[in-house]
Amino acid sequence: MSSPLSSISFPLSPMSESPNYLALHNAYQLCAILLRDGLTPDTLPYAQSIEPLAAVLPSPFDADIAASQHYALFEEAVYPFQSIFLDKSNLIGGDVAETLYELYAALGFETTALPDHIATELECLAWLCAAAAETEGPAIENMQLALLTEIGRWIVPFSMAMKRNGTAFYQALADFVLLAVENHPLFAALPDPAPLAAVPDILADDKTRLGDISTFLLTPLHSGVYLAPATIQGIGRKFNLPIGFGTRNLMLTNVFRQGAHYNCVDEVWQTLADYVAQWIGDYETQNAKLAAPWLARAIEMQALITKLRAATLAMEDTPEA
Amino acid sequence: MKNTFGKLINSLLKVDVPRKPGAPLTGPTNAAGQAMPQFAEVDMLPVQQPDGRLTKYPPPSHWDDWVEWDSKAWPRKVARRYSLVPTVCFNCESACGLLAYVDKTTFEIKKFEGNPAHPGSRGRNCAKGPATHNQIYDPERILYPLKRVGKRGEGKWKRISWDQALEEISEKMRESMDRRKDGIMYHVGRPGEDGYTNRCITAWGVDAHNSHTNICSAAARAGYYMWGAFDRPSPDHANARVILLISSHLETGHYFNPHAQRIIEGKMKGAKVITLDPRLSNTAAKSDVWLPTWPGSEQTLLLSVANYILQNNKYNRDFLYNWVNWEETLLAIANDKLPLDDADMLDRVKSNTPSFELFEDVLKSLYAEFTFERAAEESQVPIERLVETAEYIANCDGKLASHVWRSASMGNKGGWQVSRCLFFLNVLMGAVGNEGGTSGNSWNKFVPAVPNKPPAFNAWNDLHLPNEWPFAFYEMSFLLPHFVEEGRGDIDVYFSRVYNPMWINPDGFMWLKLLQNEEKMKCHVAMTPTWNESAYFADYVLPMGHAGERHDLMSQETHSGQWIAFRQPVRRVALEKAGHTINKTYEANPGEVWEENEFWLDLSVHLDPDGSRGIKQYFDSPYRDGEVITVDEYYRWIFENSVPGLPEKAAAEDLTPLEYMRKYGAFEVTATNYTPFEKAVDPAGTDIDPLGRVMKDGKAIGVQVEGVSKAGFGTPSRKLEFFSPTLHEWGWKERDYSIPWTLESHVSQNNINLEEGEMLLLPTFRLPTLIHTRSANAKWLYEISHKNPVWIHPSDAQRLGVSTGDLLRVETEIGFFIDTCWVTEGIKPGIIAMSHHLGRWRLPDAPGIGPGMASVVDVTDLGGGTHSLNILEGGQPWETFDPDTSRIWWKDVGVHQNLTHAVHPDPVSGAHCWHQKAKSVRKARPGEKHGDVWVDTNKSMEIYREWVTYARSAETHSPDGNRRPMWLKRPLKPTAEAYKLPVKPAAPEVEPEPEA
Ligand code: SF4
Repeated sequence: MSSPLSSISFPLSPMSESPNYLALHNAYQLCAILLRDGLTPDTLPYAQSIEPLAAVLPSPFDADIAASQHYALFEEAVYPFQSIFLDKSNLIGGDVAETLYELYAALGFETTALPDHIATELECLAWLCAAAAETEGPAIENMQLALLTEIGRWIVPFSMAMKRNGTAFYQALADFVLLAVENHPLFAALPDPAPLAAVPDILADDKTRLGDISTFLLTPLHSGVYLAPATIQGIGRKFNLPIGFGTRNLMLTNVFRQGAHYNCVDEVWQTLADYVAQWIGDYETQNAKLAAPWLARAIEMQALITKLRAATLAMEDTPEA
Repeated sequence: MKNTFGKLINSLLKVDVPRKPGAPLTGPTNAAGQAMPQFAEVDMLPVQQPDGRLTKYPPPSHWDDWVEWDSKAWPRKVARRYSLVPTVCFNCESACGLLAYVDKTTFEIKKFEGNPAHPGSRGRNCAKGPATHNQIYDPERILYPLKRVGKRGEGKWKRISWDQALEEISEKMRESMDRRKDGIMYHVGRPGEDGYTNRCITAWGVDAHNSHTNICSAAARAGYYMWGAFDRPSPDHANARVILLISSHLETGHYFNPHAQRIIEGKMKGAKVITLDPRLSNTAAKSDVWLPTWPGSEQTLLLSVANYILQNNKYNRDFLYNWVNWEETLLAIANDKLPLDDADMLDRVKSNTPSFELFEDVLKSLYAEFTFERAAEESQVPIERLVETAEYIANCDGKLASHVWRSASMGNKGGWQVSRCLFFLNVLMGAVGNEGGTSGNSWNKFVPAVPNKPPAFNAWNDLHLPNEWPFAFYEMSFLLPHFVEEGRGDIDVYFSRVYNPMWINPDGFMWLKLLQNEEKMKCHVAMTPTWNESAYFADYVLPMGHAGERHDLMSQETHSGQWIAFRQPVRRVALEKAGHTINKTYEANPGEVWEENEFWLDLSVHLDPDGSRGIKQYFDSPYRDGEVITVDEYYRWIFENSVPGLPEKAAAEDLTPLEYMRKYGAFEVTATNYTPFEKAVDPAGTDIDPLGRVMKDGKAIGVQVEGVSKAGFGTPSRKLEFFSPTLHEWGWKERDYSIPWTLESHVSQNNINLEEGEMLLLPTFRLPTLIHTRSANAKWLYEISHKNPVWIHPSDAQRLGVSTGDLLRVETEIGFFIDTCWVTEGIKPGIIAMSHHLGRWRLPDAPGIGPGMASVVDVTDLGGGTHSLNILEGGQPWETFDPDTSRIWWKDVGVHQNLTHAVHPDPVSGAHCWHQKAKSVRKARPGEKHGDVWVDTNKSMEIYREWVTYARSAETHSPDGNRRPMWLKRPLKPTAEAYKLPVKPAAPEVEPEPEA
């Protein structure tokens, strides 16, 4: 079995500043800890030591409330896994996770955590930085570049989703994570990310139902945006639509179905189009290199919405497959 | 941005962040440092689940050779190859699909997971499904046929061969058959199959079938049957707007997993769940509305909802007009068969031509007395909750999925009216057989025809269906010991089959008496996969297989479609695939555990080796002249001939129908089967009778609805029977019986004197991991739930001066028991509740249930009809090949409360009304120990006799000289001749006493 590293060859540019790898190790490691565990009595000192984070810490600090905010963000609203953003099935695991498993194996990075969790990726990056502080040379740089490439593929939409759904602390943390990644000394050496995989033409398939359209929209790889439960509930509330509870897919499907029953499916789609437009605006403010594929995808999505809208109208009463 | 980060560098350096040890590898290798075996990549089979979980399964194309890492070898990656064989769970009646992972090297069963090809369970199971693995590898299971040595119940056994068992048992059966047609009794606990055994028994020509139904679901069945000639509901939960449950079956009860997943599906789409239960069950806790009713008040509550629907004109007029026997009802009123309190209304009915408008007014008048105020008072539920419930139901747009199975219907005297009142709401809303509504079970359960079906037998066993209960659904099995005690008969050969009658029935010491009586119960054959309390008192113990060790065919009404599923002995199938020859399934099962299919087949042939009794002909092979049918051939015939669509589907995959079922384990006959009663009837050769029924060859086969001949229902009128002429004709003339109405429960508020210290003992629930009496053989299930403390409300606990963990002494009508209590607001004040599937025991030095799962007890006959049971030792660890048995950490394995339950046969349905009057409940005194039980069987017989007087016997009420209305279901129907009441010899003329 060949190493995933062997196929990667980066044009290394001489670094203008001497990178302070120890500081970077600390930055990535504490991001990983805060993302994975949230604010706890143990992690609070880390957050207090970083000025942009310290400025927005909840005061007084209540460990229970902090735990619930962490849960609400990462267990209910934004799933912090690369596969959620980049896998066509919108499920955890799969090829994306497999690639990372292999990469970690090749690096010798041992972890029992899910490989594509943002915290695992940052923890690995921190670990490589610690090594880089002691060893120089293309091998360790190549390793960091391989991992940075992976992180760079999804960090922008992830941090944007986190900012939209998190408390002030998590909004600041999202900024800080992005900042730390973009300030990696090898960042400039990263090649331009490849465009995202082409979107499937779901409308060409006459078996496509409302549920499939919902899945499509909920898959960031396809739609270019991230729809959290609160966003979907917000649409339901806006038009007084009963949407039940459960998975995002079920709720979004209910929004369409009930929108049809209550004659406001057009308005529902318009709200979605506005939402995509907001994402496009946000992408435009991000680092152009990392945001480019996502910006392109969101623009594509905008054009698709008109077609999808017509399709959902036609299928309002067709039972789910 | 760089600058911003640059400013942070210094502060970052000061942070003391933990550092992960180790260094990156310099060269490529894999994480385990080993060469990993290479297998081709497999696309997993995605199954769309509404909640997004459990979506991927090994695809059937790879089931013959599936590779997984051995989890026990972790972190090493050791590949194991499996044959994945589908089968069907046997741990409740839902018949969910399982997929057995049979190791291709050792042929051990590694695990059971869900079968994604099964339309009912859709790849999912409850905890009891995978626990089949525990049962199969239970160290205490019975592996060989055993024969009693010494006295019955002495606990001495010897191993015999299957041939010897067949020889000796068939010999005893032949002797019985030579003398009578009611000497053999097959008493079935968990049926878990459709039709195979019943076909065998029918072929024997005797009335042998006896079921546990009367302690299970008889009351609900009776209520449903009187409406529409189906005896179970089949709610379409997934598409409902309102899900109305009188039970806790979402989480713990009947059709548990298939229903639960669809209830959640409905709920996720916005359906409201309403649950009636005095106990805060898991289901009640997850409901939108919990109605903690006082037991016995459910009918009033339901009728108050009906009244609301009626008075507000929220009912479905068209449905009522087309499908309810309203003309017959008005006629009954006009002829004084159905009394009306409202004299003006009665006058209107008598003096006007019948019209539907009149019927509507009658309904409004009849049910006007069921106000929310009355319902709130009887049920002790806040009136706002009742109004909320009524509004939800009245606005459900005909999408009302409702269900009652045991619970209130089986707890209370008159409980059969609970299902009648519940279904009344469906009828009013037109929520019958439609999408989101409630169907009859037979519309969603597929029962195929069997080969060479024997004709009905001409026999009637009075121990099964005595004349007192002509409406019994079904055999009065729980009264068997009482009947025998009264001298009503005896039994030559008694088969208890996956059943533990002395433990599970009420009044267990009466059963003990019967099982020990070698004169009245001459031979007891216990067919069971596990040791149980009744098997100790058997003459033969025959080990039968668990889910992955037997063939059976099953279907259940899990949703709006129809399917069949094929249970298979998975090791046998895997061995045969690997080229081994297996003649009998016990060659492939552990020890000599057999399957019933082959056993019944061989027993039937042993009964009639030369064919002279006319039995053997029904066991001829349909494919090989003069040979005995094999199990393969039996199923092959069914799959080829009586499952529509299966042969075509199989052919499309180049398989025979049998190969298809062996491969997938299940087949969907139809995805939906809504409103079959609306189906048009072929008018050829039919007449319309004056009642509008479509008649053919003297039989009603349909009914005219708006001039069209439709199939209708299986009732005499072919409509849904609001007024039941049958109940009226057979002596139940009062309105309280002939239409949906309330009947007073034996434990109504009037009948429990709380001030005198009486309470209501509610035993009609179980915890979701319990499998009747087979959970003790599934170690992990028992670890989750092994004790059954008494639930008691804090107000009652305070009154009695007890707190959680204290011992309570509960006195019933016939005895008492002592158990710990659990103080909880999850039960209504005045009621104590106790799960009924725990409290297993074994005798000292006897084989049986593992020591961690059962107490060792002393059972003593104290003389004078009194008996006691005392715990000598609680659960404890024990040494076996399984290291888990030495890790038992619990001692309390529950208390056997059923021993102290008096029998309460409902006068109509014959159901045992489970709720008990607790005559006194107090803190235990010094010397009274956990698990102590004491019973006076004289009292048992007194209560039994009292309840018999409530019945109305066919002998005095039959309108046609039959023992039972012909159209009512029986598990096995005998000939019309057998239905005739025996003609009693005329009473001898008595000389008048000479005048003094
Ligand atoms: S619901 Fe019943 S059949 Fe299904 S897995 Fe559980 S015990 Fe088995």
